[in-house]
Amino acid sequence: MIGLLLALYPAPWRRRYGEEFRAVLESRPLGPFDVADVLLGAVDARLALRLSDGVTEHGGQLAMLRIGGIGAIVGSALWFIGIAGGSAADDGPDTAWLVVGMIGSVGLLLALAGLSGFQAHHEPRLAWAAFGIPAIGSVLSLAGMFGMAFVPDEQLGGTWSGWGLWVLGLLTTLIGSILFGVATIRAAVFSRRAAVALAASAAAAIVVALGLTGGSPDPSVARILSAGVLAAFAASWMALGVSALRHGPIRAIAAALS
Amino acid sequence: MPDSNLELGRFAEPSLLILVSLSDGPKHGYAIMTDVEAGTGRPLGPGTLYAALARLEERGLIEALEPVDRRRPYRLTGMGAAVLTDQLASLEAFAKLGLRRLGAQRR
Repeated sequence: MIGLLLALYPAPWRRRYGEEFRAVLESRPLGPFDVADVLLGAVDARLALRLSDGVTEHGGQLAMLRIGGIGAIVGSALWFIGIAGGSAADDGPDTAWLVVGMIGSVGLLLALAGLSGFQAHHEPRLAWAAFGIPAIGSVLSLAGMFGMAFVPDEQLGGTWSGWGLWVLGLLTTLIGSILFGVATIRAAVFSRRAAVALAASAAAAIVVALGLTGGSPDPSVARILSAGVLAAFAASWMALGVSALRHGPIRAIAAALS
Repeated sequence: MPDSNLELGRFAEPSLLILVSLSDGPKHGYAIMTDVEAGTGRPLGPGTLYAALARLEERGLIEALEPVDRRRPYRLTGMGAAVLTDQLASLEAFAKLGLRRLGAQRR
C-alpha cells in the first residue's frame, strides 16, 4: 500500500523525499484521512513539478541570475582587494593590483548586467538608471585602471589622467550603486537588507570621499576610513550576490512570470 | 523586515504550524506531525506535511539536516525565524483587535 502511494509521486520528488516520506508513512497505521491526504499530496507534487518545468523554460534568466550573483561576489571581492593592495604602496599602485581591480570591475559589470534584468518589470526607468550609471562608472573606472597600469598620462590626451578617470568612475559607480540598492529594495526580488547595506555603504563612501577632499585629515585616519567604507560597499555587493544565488531564483522567476 | 508574502496558498496554515514546531529545535517529519497534533488537537496529514515542507525548504525558511535512520530532521533558518516572528506578531495584533472588539460589544 505504501509503495503504491509513493509511486503516485513524481520521480524527482521521490528521489528527494521518498525515503523519509516512506519512514513517516511506516511510523503509524494509515487511516482513510492519511490515504486521502497522501493522494492530494501526490497531485500537488505533480502540479508543482509542472510549474517547475515551466521555470526551466526560463533557463536564460536563471543563467543571468547566476552570472550576476557570481559576478557580484567575485567581482566585489577582487575590486576591493585590488584597491586595498594598490593603495598600500606609497609610490603608486603596482600593475598587478590594478589588474586585480580591473578584473573586479568586469565582475561588477557582470553583476549589474545579470541582476538588473530582474528589476525592469517593476520600475523600468529606475532600473535603467540603476544599471546604466554604475555600469558607466565601472567602465570609466576600468579605463582609469588600465590607463594607470599601461598608458602613461601624457599619452591619454586631454586633461584626464588614469587616476582622474578612476576617481570619476568610482564616484559614478557609488552614485549608481545607491540607485541600484533602491531599485533592488523596490523590486523585492533579492535581499532587502543587502540592498539597504549597498545603498548606505555607497552613500557613506561618497561622504567620506567628499570629506577627504574637503579637508586634510591624518593620512592613516583617511586610509582607515576609506578602507572601512569601501570594504562595507564590497561586502554589500557580495551579500547581494549570495542572496541572488541562494534565495533569488524562486522570486526572480516568479517576478519574470508575473 | 522579512517578506511575509510567501504565496504558500492553501499550505500557509500548515506551514505556520511547521515553523512553530521547529521553533524549539530541529525535528524530523513524524516528530513534526505528532508535535503539531499535540499542540493544536488537529491531525497534520503526511501529504500536507511534505507539500508544506517542500515549499518551506524551497523558500529558504527551513533547511534539511543529515538523515538519521531514513529520518531527515529539518531546522528553522534565520530567514524562517524572522518570517515566523513577523507572522506571529501579525496574528497577535489581529487577535488583540478581535478580542477588543468583542469586549466592546459585550459592554
